[in-house]
Amino acid sequence: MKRIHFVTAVMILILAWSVVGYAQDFAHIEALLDRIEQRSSFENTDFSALVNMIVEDPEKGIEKIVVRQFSRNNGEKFLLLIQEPVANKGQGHLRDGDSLWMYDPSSRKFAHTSLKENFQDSDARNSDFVVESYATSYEIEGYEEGKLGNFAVYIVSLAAQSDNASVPYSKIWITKDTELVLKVEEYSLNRRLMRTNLYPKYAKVGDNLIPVQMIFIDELVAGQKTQMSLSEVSTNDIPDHVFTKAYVERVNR
Amino acid sequence: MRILLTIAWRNIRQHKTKTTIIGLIMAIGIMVLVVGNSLMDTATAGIEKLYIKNFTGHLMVTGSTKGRLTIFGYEDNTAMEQAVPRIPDYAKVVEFARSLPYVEAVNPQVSGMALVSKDDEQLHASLFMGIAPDQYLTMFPDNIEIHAGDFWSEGGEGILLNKAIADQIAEYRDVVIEPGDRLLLTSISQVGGMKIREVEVTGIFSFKQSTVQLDFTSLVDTSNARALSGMVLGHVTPAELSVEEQAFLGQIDEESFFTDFDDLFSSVLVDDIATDDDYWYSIMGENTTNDVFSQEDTGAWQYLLIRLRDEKYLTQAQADFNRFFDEEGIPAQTLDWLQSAGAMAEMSKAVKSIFNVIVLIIAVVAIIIIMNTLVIAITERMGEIGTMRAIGAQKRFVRRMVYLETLLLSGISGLVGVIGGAVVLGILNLVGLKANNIFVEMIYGGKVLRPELSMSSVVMSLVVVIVVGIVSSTYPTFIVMRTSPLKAMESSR
Repeated sequence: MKRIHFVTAVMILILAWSVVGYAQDFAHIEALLDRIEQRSSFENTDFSALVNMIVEDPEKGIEKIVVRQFSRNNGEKFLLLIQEPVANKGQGHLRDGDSLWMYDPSSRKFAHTSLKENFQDSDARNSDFVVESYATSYEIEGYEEGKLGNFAVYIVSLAAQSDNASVPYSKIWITKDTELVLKVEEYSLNRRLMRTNLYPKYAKVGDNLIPVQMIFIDELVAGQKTQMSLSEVSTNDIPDHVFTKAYVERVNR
Repeated sequence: MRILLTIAWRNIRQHKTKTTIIGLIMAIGIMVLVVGNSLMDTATAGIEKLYIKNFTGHLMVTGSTKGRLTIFGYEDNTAMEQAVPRIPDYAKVVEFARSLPYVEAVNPQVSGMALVSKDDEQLHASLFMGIAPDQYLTMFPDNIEIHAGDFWSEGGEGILLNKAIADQIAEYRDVVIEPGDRLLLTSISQVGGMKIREVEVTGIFSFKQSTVQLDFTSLVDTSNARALSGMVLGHVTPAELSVEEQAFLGQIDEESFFTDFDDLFSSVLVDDIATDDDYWYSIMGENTTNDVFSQEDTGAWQYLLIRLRDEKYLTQAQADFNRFFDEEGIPAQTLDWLQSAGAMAEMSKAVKSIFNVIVLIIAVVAIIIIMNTLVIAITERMGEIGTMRAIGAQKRFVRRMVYLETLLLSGISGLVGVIGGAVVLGILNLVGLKANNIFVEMIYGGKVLRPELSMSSVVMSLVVVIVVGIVSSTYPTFIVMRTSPLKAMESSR
């Protein structure tokens, strides 16, 4: 009888150890995701950049879009001004809290949208779509160690757990030593690969590390790809008047 | 023949009960056929008439395109990706259209979709048709009812807002839109970017015969419609890419991006932003080019709707236009009314085909009942026919007599059935069959169906009853003729 008790106790111990072991592993990855998020956050600083997008479409060809971006408090206030294509030059999107204005320079008119309004009659709000966080919007399903190019990486599998998540499942490749996200795969609900995102270039901006070159590959349409690069990046203070309708109008004169 | 006719008529009158029952069954069968087919014919003609007369004309000319183009724009997944093409060499095309003797009227249009806002509040969305009122009213003189206000003045700007949209805005947003109000129309597309126009409501209207899609459609002046549809003089220039940007085009090897740690960090400039006003107000550079690029392409149209003097010219018109486009090298195409009317019209047709099958099944059942009744009726007369044969009547004589009887009965019953059907249809026409849901509305091609007696259904029903009569009397007559007179007489005992 004593022997049976002993075996049971050992089994419980092994089980408890394995559970704790897993929990510790996940905690380590959770901490890693938190650090990545902190490092790319611009909570108390302004941020500006010139964003270049090259859209490759197998049918439409290549299109270049250049947007100037000004942002404050992680996008609580932002202004996007289109510089290219020339036909759309000056079109702007200005956000201030729950208000979003769109500006058309050809008519010099603003159209207003409230971010408080429910998104297409769903339970989600427009504002829910603004911020996405790996740490809070996803839970870790598992991870493994592997290699991407010459870098040793963690390959972390995530599953959405909040409405803020943009995709149901994703897999991210994070360098083990420098903790940089190099690649993300986005999956649909039935685990079909929809998009692959590559982050081949980073830049140090103040205390932050941000990707300045990104490639988004549409896995559903062969040959469809967007590359995005950031230049003229700055975290210097942006004057308050930049986040106003008057500025958007004046800068277009 | 006269003797035969007399005997046949006398036989019909002699078997009064039997004749009445058979006649009634046949008459009801014919009535069902006439009413069912007339309903379907009216509904089919209704949809065709509804669209041709009120929205599409017989033929639509557009620029050549791959997508599924309708008067409402693209109705496939290319809608956001490609702009509706402008008709190339529009002046030449319209001149050619007007030169054709069978063309009665032409009307150019532009289509699009916009969000509708007022006082910083987004209220609704609306499809729109950009039109020139005088040409539109010439083409479709009786398709709209104006409830308040009017069209914009000639050469002016404005929107004639659909009453269904105005009603929904009043109900759900508690905002009453009236003529004189100014609305902001915002259109967004991947191709044209974002366009915002402030337009005065000059009137509230509704289409006299409408569908869900049309209830969602307003009429806008051409200048604003062109702007909202991105029909500006500017054109897309090929993108100029740096060497670094070109390196990422086409197939890429992701492993090759991640070889060296130093390569992971960019030499991207992290700037100190200047703080003086000169910097902030000059970041967009020279803006004069923008004005050139956003100038309206006056005279450009997406659709040319054509009404013919008669539908019989449709094939000829399509052939003539296609020949003209080939000869002149104009990349344009023609679409018939069904293609240009879009998904709702096609869905109506599809739903109607299902109902046609149901009517066909009812017709087959009615025919089987009629045949069965006739077979029984003739088989029952075996003894009588045997007696006639025994007293010297020739096979040929008896056969002709039976056929004549059947023809007389079918003819009279058919006539009664047609008259009965006409009366039923007359009543339905007066009362009007109201569609109480979208599904029925699609079958009717409108909100109310007033069925009319269709001559094709009358002719078809009479032919059916006579053929059925002959076919169904042939088999029992054949059996009776093969039976010896003695046996036939015995069977009647």
